[in-house]
Amino acid sequence: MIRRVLAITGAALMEALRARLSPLIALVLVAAVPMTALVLGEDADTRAWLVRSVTAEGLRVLLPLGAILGGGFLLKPNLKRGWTILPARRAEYFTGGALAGALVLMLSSALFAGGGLIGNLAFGSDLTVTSQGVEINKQRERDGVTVYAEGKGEGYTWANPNYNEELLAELPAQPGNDLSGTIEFRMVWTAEGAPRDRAPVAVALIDADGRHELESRVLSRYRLHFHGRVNGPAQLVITPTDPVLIIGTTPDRIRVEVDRTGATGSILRLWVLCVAAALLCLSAVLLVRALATAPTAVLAGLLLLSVLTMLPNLGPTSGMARDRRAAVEGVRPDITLAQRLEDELAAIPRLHPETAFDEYLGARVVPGNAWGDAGLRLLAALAMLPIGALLFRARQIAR
Amino acid sequence: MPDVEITNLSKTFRDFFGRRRVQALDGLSLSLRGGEVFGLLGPNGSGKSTTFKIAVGLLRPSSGQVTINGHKPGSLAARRATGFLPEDSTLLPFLNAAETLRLHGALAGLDRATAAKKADELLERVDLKHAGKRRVKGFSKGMQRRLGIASVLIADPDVFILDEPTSGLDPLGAVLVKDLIADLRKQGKAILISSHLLGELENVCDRVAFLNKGKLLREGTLDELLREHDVHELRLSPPDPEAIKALAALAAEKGLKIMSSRAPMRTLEQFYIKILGKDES
Ligand SMILES: Nc1ncnc2c1ncn2[C@@H]1O[C@H](COP(=O)(O)OP(=O)(O)O)[C@@H](O)[C@H]1O
Ligand SMILES: [Mg+2]
Repeated sequence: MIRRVLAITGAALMEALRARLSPLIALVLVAAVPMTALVLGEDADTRAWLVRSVTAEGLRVLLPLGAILGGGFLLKPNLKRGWTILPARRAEYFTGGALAGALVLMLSSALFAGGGLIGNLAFGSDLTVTSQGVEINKQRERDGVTVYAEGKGEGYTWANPNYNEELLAELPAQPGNDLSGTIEFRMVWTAEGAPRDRAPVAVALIDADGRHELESRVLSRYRLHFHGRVNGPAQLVITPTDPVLIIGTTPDRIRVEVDRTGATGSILRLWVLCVAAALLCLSAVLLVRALATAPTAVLAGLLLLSVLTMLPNLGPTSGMARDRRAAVEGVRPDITLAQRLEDELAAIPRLHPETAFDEYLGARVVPGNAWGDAGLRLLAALAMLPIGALLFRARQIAR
Repeated sequence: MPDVEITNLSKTFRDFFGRRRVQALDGLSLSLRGGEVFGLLGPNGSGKSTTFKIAVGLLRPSSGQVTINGHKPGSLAARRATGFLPEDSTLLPFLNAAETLRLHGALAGLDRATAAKKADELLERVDLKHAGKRRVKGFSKGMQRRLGIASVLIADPDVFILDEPTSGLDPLGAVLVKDLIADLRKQGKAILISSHLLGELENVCDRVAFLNKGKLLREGTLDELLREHDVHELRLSPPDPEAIKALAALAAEKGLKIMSSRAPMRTLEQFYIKILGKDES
């Protein structure tokens, strides 16, 4: 059986390798990142940014699209019917075709990522290594008395400005005197007024010198960069400053910069992550293709892609606000069907774990949990293949 | 002993909503043993290809069944036992002829060396030796047909199901296919072929069945169906005028009627084969 699958894979690969445009496409893939940086980048900073962003966006956006389009047209009429005169099982034919598609996808994305690597060596800058895993606790000031409360461990710990709550994060020991890092947080709007501040958070430090404010800079809506001087073991204080926004974060969303290193490992991790996600798209499209025509399969793939990338973003924070108010006020408001649907949609796992890309775009090392994320997606992709093979086996082939 | 058993086979094509569209086959029963060539004849749309597709497991019958050596179509045992040449080419255009045959050999479980050796032999057998390194994409329809037949042969199945094997072939190709079929019959294979061109099957089939609109009209050996018992044909060589006159006189004496007496014409096909055959050898 394996021999037959491999024979079919080999034959299907020939098609990709022998296509007239293949060498040109390979060249374009390798040159994409370095050339873009060279042509569009005016100074070293821009070039470094371009190298990172073109690599990341190419892998994140173009690769799954390519997988969907390629997958849709993979079991071409020719290939699809070819099995009829073959003494192989139909499921073997399906698996062989899918395997060839996966290999082409891996090869072409590797070429692109290789270009990213070259670009990085030529124009890129080192990435920042961050440490994480600090513990978060909470303090509340009431009538001049400070009350401490334990945080939620791995989960979100919330601070409500109306109760003068602050989050306290233990920082790992710092080698030098400079401290910088990022905080990623979530906000819940209490609906009691309009939000005012662009950054509804202030960051301070408590160390041997006592409490002092840190300088902070907004990176994106939910992300803040801070830096300042530190003396000895320290605690980070995160204070919500907008009275209508409750702020929450988790230990692994607070990152302190400790070192700088090259981009190779990070690009590799991004590549693995994106290949896994693209293979998931490919399997899904092939699953549909086993029963339907190529355009149907491509449409289904695009639908899946949009569900897995856009909908979790569209999921409004109102659900989170409800949860939070329910926790604070002790009443659980009735939720409508539409709201429940909203919650469900917001809970869909995403095609890509966004943090990996954010880190890389922000010139920070992609964290090691990328491997686990990639593994899960790969398993999901593998699980779909036998189903597709069975469906393809059951299908009547009239023409 | 290879055999194919078709019992009471019906197939109705339905549209997306399950409404009946075409009754392609209506209660067809046939059987065929090893060492026998069975021809399915009928106009376009009479259900020949549908029968074959059901027999190789591409389509499921609406009722009735087919067994190949006692196995259900589409099972690995039946698939191994069957070589199927579909109506239109399903070769992979980006492989060359030799690679195509080697792929089919690998799928049939041959090892690399055997597959390569057999591929070479078969290319010679179907007169494609000169095009072995060329991609299938550039092949004419007849060349693709020859290659298709070779790819069926490489797996050495017991049962051959060939859907219009001679369509698109030049007369020499058609003769080659007929020779191949005769060889296979000698080896004891069971061969089921179809055609809408009646002349093509005449001198290869042991038995034929006429199909129209999915129904079996007549079935029998060529002898049963075609032999004219009330005339006799006699051919003389050399055409000695004296002898012919004497025979005519004898016939008249016996009160028999001579229906035709003339120098026969070669068919265009025989002529073609004669001049091209000479040219090539
Ligand atoms: N996939 C299909 N869907 C609907 N009708 C079909 C399909 N395939 C064949 N038919 C119909 O079945 C009948 C028999 O077709 P076929 O077996 O291909 O004829 P032929 O004897 O020429 O090979 C025809 O009327 C044809 O239109
Ligand atoms: Mg037909």
